[in-house]
Amino acid sequence: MLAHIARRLVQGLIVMLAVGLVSFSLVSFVGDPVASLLGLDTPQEAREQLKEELGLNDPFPVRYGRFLLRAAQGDFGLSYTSSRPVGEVIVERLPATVELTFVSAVIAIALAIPMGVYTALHRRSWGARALLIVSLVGVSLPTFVIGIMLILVFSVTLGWLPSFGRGELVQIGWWTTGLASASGWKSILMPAASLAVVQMTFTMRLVRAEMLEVLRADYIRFARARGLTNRAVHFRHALRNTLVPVVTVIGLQVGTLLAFAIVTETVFQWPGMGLLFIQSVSTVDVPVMTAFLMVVGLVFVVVNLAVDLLYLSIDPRLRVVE
Amino acid sequence: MTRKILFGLLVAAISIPAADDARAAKFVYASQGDPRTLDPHAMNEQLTLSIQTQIYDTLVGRGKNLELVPSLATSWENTGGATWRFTLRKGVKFHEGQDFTAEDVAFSIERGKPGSQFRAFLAHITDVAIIDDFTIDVTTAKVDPLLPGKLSTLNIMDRDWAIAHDSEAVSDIGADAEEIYATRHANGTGPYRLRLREPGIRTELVRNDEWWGENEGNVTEATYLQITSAPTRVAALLSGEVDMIMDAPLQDLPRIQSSPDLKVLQGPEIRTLLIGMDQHRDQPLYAFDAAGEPLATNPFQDLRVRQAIAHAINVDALIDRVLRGNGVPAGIVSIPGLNGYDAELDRRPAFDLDRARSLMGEAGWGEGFRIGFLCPNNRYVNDTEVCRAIAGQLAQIDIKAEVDSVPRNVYFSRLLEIDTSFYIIGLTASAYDTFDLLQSNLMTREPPDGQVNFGRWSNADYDAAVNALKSEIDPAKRQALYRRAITLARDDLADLRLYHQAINWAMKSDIDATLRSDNFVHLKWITVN
Repeated sequence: MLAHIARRLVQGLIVMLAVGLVSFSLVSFVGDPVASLLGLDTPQEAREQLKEELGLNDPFPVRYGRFLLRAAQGDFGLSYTSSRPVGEVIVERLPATVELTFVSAVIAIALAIPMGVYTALHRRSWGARALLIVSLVGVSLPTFVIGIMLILVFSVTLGWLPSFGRGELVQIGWWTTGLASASGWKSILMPAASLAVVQMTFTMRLVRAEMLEVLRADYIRFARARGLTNRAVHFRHALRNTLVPVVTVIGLQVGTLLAFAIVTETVFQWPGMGLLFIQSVSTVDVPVMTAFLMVVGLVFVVVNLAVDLLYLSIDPRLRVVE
Repeated sequence: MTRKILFGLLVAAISIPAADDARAAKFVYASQGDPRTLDPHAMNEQLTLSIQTQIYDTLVGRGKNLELVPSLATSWENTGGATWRFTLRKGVKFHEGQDFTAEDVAFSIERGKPGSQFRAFLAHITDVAIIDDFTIDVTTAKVDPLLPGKLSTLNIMDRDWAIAHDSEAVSDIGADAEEIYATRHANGTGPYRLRLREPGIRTELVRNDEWWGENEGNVTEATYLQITSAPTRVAALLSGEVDMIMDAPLQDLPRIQSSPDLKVLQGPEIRTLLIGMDQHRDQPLYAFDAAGEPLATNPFQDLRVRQAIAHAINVDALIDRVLRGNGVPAGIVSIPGLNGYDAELDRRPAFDLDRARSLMGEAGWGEGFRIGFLCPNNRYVNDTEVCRAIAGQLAQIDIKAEVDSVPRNVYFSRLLEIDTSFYIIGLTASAYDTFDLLQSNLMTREPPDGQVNFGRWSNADYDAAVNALKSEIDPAKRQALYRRAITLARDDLADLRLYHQAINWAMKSDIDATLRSDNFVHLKWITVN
């Protein structure tokens, strides 16, 4: 068991190294940070000096090595544009992204599970078909289109919800929350909803498929034979058994939500990590970009590891025979 | 800690009841970018300076038409030779209560000189002598007739405040040094005080009632927001959440104009779009003949080819179709509104395809050629569309311009390495004088001369005229030199001037604003009715 965990940790480390390498080398295609930091009319020697100061003249392996060494100590360097430690800048934007992903996951789950159950139980009804078609449309529309459509309807036409930002914030220690004020809730609704659409569709379809599967199982038939009410059969026996894989998938989707959040945050000017990433791409803020990619990579690795370990404890069959 | 203070300020701001003053007004404006820093000498960038200018005053000011006006200096004169004497305004106080004196001016000049992005304007200053508290002499290495204009870009900071907050030296943008106090805090003498600064999110300002000048507007509280995505920005305006956006997308202008609650204020910007042509390399880059072989000679070195290209491009159609009317045709190395502009000279070759074709034939390029056309896709208004349209027009004379459309950061690094032989670029005059353009755009490339002359056109007569301008004080002689340099560049088609870009501020119709061609929003000139 311990050996298995150790092996997974080593694998996680290798993945992180690979993510680091990819993000670090990808970033060199974004352009020259010096050209972005200094205007066109800056003298050449000033450019050279800045390049030297930023260590951009060193060969790639040297730069990558230096980056890894510092990253291992949790030091991602200073943001080129704000001259502040990257960790600090990212942590400042973290609450916005966490709240957004959290609220959108809640919306997705709260809607997807009942919808999935309904479509499974009333397979041939018009309502179920309509839900399936609508969800297909939802998943095929790009997130930014959904976002813009929401803005058009709820901000521009109806004037109910703000089109951008987080609204009024309340500070709790280092954490800022928008969930403590009405304007904060109004602000989070649209971004969270547009982010939830894709996940909702997946989850709904998964719940539906699992339900259909489970409803054919013998114990459901026995439960009916025992004379249990439909309600008890559907919710106590069927739904519960479908939830194990559903919970796993939702967990794994956290990383995906984080990735999709880049688009949503840009559309709604949501001041989270995704927006920070886009802003840093446009200014070639290399330290911020690499740190963001590393953080996303880390989230994926940690979630996967946690899910693996959970599985291990739930299902003894998965334990590796030494 | 800082966050707590900021938050405290925010709470305080929310709980202060609105003033009863009938003239009081709140104003929220937005654009796609965010000021990079509040350190007044760290970045010479349009948006950054336009926010700083609400908080800080410059030594010499600029009026609504960019003319020099008194600011912290009430008057200035050349005392003969290379020295300018500035008489300073008395009784001015910084926002935190410090008195403004000559010491602060000397400090700001010295602070901006080494390492800052303003060094192009300040590096030649050899001596700053404080005569008394309100008189200061600035001496340059050589006579500099444009010094007051150059100092109109320099914000004045309080010396004691900077020292007390470890902000004596300019913050090193990009270098491995942490931000300084002045990066997110500000203490100026300007018409607005900083209330809150959240980088990448918002900047909040409140009116400085003790300002020495007359605030012509009625804005008491202002918020600047960065809204990156264009549709969101427009939506925020349409829904009334912001009062003005500085960069409305062209395709949305008709929609905004058709709304009774909104209007668009339009005017020319000091920015000329032009095509640069490599006249230096004997074999141009990314250039091939009809058979697909790299070109052995450089067609751009032949004046007739440059003329042919000029005649083949229909600028009116570009402005009309691609820019939806948002541009003014340009023909010379100057821009309306700049000192030294001469409307009489401002002519460009007429659109004439037959003439263009025959010029290509005469030059021996009748079969045409293929050339990579470097173009940004997120820097200028509809940049890639403009490049595609030009490529379409050039195809008529068998020049196949292959548009190489790249993001701005890649674009600028390729330009700086001159990794192109045919490119589009938008250039502005940073100290608002035609001289800036003459020097940086087309002098033989020896930076700072010819800093952005990436086509590396070189002409000895032209260089001589511009060099003479560097130290000529007499206005009449200056005008003659401007004319000479402009005409030389125009007649040799040193580059191909296309159009001056337009500014579009979209705002609520009850707002009166003054649009200045440097695209600076001045809150002191904004009235919310």
